[in-house]
Amino acid sequence: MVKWAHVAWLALASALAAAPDSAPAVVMDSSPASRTDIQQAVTNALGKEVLIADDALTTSSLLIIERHTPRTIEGRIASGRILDAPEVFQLVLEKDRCVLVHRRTDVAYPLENARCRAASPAPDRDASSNQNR
Amino acid sequence: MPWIAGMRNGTATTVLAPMLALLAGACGGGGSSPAPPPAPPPPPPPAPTTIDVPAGRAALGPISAGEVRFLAVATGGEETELAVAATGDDGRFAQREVETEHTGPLRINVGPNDEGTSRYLCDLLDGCVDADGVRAEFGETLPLSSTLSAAVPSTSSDTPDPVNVTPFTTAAVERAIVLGGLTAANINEAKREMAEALEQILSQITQRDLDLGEDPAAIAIVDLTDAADRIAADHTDVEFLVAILNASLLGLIGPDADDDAVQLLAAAFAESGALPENDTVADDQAVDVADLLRVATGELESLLADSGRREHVRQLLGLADAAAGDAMVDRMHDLVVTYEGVTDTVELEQVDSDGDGLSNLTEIEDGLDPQNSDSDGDTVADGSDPFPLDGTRTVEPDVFPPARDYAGLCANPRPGEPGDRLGTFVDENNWLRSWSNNLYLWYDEIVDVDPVMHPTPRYFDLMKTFATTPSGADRDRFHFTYPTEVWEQLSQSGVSAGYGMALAALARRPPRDYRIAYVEPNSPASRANLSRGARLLAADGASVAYGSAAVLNAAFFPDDAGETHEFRIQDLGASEPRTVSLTSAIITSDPVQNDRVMETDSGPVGYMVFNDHIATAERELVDAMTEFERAGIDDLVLDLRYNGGGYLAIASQVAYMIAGPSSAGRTFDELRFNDKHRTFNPVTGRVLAPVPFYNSTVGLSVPSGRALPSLDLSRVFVLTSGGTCSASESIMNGLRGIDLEVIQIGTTTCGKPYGFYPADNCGTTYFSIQFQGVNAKGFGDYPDGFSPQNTARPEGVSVPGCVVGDDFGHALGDVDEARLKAALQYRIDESCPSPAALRSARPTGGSQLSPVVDAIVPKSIWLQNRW
Repeated sequence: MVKWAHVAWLALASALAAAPDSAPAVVMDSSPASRTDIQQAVTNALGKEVLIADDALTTSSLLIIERHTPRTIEGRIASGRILDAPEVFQLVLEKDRCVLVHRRTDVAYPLENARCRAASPAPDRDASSNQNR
Repeated sequence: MPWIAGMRNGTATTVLAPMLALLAGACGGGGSSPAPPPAPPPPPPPAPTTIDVPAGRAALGPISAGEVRFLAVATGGEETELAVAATGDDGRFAQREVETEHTGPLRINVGPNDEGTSRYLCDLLDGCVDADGVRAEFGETLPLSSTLSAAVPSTSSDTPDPVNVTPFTTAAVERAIVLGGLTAANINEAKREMAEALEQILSQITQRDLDLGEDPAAIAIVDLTDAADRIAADHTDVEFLVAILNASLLGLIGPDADDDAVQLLAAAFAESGALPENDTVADDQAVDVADLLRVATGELESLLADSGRREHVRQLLGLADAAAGDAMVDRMHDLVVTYEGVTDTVELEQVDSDGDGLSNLTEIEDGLDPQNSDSDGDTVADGSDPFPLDGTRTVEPDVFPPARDYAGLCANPRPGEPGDRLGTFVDENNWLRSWSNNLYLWYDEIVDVDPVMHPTPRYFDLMKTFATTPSGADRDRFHFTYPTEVWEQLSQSGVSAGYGMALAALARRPPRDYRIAYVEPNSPASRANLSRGARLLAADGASVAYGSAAVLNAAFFPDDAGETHEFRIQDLGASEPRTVSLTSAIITSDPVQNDRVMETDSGPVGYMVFNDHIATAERELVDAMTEFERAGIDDLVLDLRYNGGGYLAIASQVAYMIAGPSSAGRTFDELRFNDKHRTFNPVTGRVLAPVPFYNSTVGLSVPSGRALPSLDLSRVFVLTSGGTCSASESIMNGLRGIDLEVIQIGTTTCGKPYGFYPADNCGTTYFSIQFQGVNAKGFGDYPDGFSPQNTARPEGVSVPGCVVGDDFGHALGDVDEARLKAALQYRIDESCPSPAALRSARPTGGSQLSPVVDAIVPKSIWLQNRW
């Protein structure tokens, strides 16, 4: 069972900073094999299956995992004031390797079947672009 | 000495008299003495008679192959051997007839034979060690080295009672000798003293008066190593206890004895007529009666507790009869009791036959069943039940043990879940009761219902306040559970299986009316050109208005990607319905949509739909607000109508970006728990501190510590509905706390200034309100929500603005959409639209009118009874 740490938000202060010898990255040419790698890495890190989009890590180096928020019948989310922090993974390029880093534990999971490239140099443009605004 | 003509079963007489007389003469005469003076002719010897030497049994433990010698004791103490026999494997020796003129005291010695084959059984549960250091386990044999004795005051031709030879009878013989020799009077006195000593010591164990009679040799021997012997119907409880006492005493003395344990006991008793108590019984051997009692009682309890022998011992003690409710109850009562200790340092435990935590004595005194751990059948063991005879009460009112005492005690433990142990539903209810009492915000309004009274789901329903809000609604409308396996499901932020369309319920009961509230980009719904306002007519052949809820649920809320269903849709403005086939997919929701800057005559106005406080929203909010900042907007219309809350930190960021730097560091939202927890968060253990207005990113989806954009507005327009809840409401409340004007356009919000830390127990995750959020002014009492000030019957806290229904005739962000339109008008003249104006806002094209109402948007893909 995954225990969601009740961490202070400041604990995330360094979570999204890549290691000095690595660079934020995104997946190139997403394939079933690369998606399986990602799924397996996250499962290993969190101890359970996680629903992940097929295009995860293709436009952003960040993969954010949170509760699959249940909602009440009226559509309200079950826990309307969430105080926990989500689990954050970041894809980095270390030399020629794609590595998915679980930021809470700093454990690195190499993705053997994924090809990566450095993400956009502007870190705050790292996430998926918002469409239909 | 050879056994002569050992006839069996007493059917023949062995004639020994001539030889015995010869031996007696040799022993008494002394062949080397000077020649005596001439003596008168001796009187004729008395004619030999036939006497019965008694049967009996010898035990340390039961002795096998022991040599039994029957000795006639003359007036002067001389002993003449009358017969020799051997014990059987169980220590028994038989009655027999002996021809002799002796009718006085008889001594019986049982010791090792010349062949060295004599053994005795270790009947001490912890095992035995003999004088040579040889160890034997319970039931195994040891070489016999001790000699045991018993004395009979007189012999006769009548069949005597069995004479059982034990360490206690041995001690009595030695005591009689000290009293002046083995005369009938001394033997009887020594027996009486021994009986009294045994009664005293057993009375301390059992706390009752026991009658051992006058002759310890008459107490039958129980072979504690033999289950059949232990349960033999003709054994009394006294016999059983004496056997345990004997084993315990020898066990206490024996292992460390330099000398023979039996002799130590005998010497001690001979000295004082009492069993050893705080005394030295040999040069270096001290035996304390308190230790003796401890060992004896421990043996008794061990025998009772041993599952393999327990039933036998129970029967022996009369417990079975006690269960039947007959007079044997008293017998058990007398036997199995508490011993408080002879000294302050010795405390003996009670026997608890049914393992419920209460001694049998206590149970009988309290009218409980000592063989039933739950006398009143309420699933709570008697020892844990403050009302063990009342099946409707299991707890002391207003006494709440720590919830952890019951955590994981489950009526149905989950296989493979290490935290689960077998318990009962009452245990689960006790956990809820204590957990709620500790953490529930209104714990003092919970009626203390006994956990035995309701099954767990119903019991949880009762662990809340039933107070009402000023509007008459339940104050606590957020008390619910989820299966833990569901609550623990994880997903990438915003990712779920579905079509990418949110539905709004205009009528949830037949005839049902459901519309599309909004559509996610890049979703099956958007690719099918579905959009806000479209009415859902049917799914897989079932009409939405009256069709099967099961069919509709299956169609509209697919569990997984890849499910294809067929829908009948009436698009907004279309003249005819159309059929659409949708295949569910993994959808990534877009929490911030339709963000735009509207140029108006009174300056630029920003607008955005903010649907979810999920992690990915942080980035989108920053992006949108950055654009608004660049555009220098004069006002912001924040559309929260479908936003049910989420990360409180995101709410704080939104509020900061609206208010600007002047809010930084001020209290946005402060958690208040019940009055038991004023300083520390009772779940995290941290010192309670307000959530401030965050002026930088917190790392949810943007690197943390980056400065947030800010609009520096003095007011904000918020579009609301009943679905605007929790963290969304906290944006309104937090801003009001720093006197930023919040203008509310829409309908009353849900009213949830509360939160909780969900807790798992036995596979269910419980949600019970634990804290309230208050703003910088300490205000958080909006359980009826926030209501625009012109609401006909204001339910919640009145806020400047206008009540306006949801307009499904226009897209979100369309300046003609009723709520946005009202906001734009209000910012000009603070006027609100009339109902007639709202009606005029409805579209005119097509066969369907899209009403202006307050709709509910069910987003769940898994809740039951959604229709």
